[in-house]
Amino acid sequence: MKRLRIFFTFVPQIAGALIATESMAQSTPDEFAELSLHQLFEQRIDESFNDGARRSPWTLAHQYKYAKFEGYLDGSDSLSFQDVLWNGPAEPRTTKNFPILPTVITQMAAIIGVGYQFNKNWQGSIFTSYIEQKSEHISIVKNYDFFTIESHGVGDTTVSASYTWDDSARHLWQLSMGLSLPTGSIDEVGDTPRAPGDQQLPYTMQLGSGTFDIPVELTYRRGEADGLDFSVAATVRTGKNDRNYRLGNNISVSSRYQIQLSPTLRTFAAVSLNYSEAINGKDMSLLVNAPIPYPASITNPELYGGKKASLGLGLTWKLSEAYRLSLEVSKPLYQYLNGPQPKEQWRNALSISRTQ
Amino acid sequence: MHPLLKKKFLQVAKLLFVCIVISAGLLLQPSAFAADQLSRESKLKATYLFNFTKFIEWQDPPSTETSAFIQVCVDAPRDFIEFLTELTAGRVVGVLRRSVNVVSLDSATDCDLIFVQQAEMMEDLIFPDAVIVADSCTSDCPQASIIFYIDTSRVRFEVNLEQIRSLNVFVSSDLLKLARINN
Repeated sequence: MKRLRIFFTFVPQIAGALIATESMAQSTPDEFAELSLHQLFEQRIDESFNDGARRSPWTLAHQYKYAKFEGYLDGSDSLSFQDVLWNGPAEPRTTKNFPILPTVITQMAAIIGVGYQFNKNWQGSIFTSYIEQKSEHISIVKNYDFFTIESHGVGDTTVSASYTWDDSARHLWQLSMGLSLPTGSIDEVGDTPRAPGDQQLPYTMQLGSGTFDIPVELTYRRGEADGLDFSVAATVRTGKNDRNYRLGNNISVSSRYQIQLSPTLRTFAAVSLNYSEAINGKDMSLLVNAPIPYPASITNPELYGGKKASLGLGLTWKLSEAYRLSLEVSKPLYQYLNGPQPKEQWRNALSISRTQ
Repeated sequence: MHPLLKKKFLQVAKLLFVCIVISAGLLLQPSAFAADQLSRESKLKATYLFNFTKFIEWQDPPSTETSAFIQVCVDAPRDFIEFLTELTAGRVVGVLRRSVNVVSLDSATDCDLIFVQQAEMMEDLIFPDAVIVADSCTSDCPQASIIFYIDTSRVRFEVNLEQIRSLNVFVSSDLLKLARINN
């Protein structure tokens, strides 16, 4: 049923973009190539005289991201569910085992972004998202042997500005900096074994960070259709949210090699290295009254963060002069996590964007 | 709030969000349909480069095999290179029906036609037999065989006849008819 729902969420978006593509009236490379030398000689450089194409400073992006977490890692060591599940008083309780265990966590984010090109160098943009998360559990708590919790809603909103240096013919640098506004909820509740009725959900199931965060990114591209791109991105968290914690800062370094397969199709392979810190502070409502107060690993703020190296493969299809459809599948090659922590299995992204 | 009512409310809220997203996309589309970043002037210059490959014949030395393609080396932003690549893709030119290969000048190992945007690039070019096309050269550009200029909002080109005759190429009179000749 959920798949069906996602499908129907997709269709209008993609269909809208495709219809838009069909209705575009502008000069394509093919149209230029068909001009005779004399026709070319008569073409004016001010577009309005020759075609109806209107330049617009607006850009639009729409992206769906999926991620799945399953299994556990402590450092780089794999742990079974039985290793992490505390089986009751017959077994010693430690900081590495828990009476409640998330087994599969899935996350979906639908992101919409609008950008505005102020001039050749400066662009501003605003992004927000709709998030759906689901976490399946096993536990030793009576009546909660197997249970699922879900959360969904609007995530955080990011406003950013980027500056591009493209004065050199073969090198492009872009620096982006923004402010992430805490529009996503950190008060999501659900029925967990902690107590009867709804209680505050763990950090993973919240929709936002609850803090004002600063995303920064520096990108370098060579001025060729094929070749390597590099980028460094970081998110710096500020202060603490109303629940007395802040998510960990993170930084990633990534490189992408792309090859033009045809005039409209490009493939790419990307490698990224990510480091993220553990959560700072703690949400006291997630704790239970026991010597070890964390009922599940995901309620312990220290069991977040770590290092990951991922490989991504993707395709970009140029639907028209302005629209791109892109699909990327990414899988971690190496993970060293502050664990026990759920292990990332894969993440996918499907995006359609109108670029300038 | 009753759980069933809350669930219904969330469903309606989600549907509303999706509708807003679609509406925002549709509302923005009229302006989003605009042309891409590359200026029309640059597109016209790229088209001229393609036409130059049609109206200039490169005479390979008798001892060498005729190349299957004409190598166009470009010193220009990525968008320009991509546009020219797409413009020439799948097309053949000349009596020998050669395809046109577009590469960045930076990584080129051989060039028949070179397009430079910055005049200072011409000082260290290492392809002496290539036809050099310069983009609106304001200073002295003796190595350039063809120089673009703008006249009454149209892209025009000047041919340095002495320079281009020193190269091993044949220029069609159809091209010269449209050029401003610099002897």
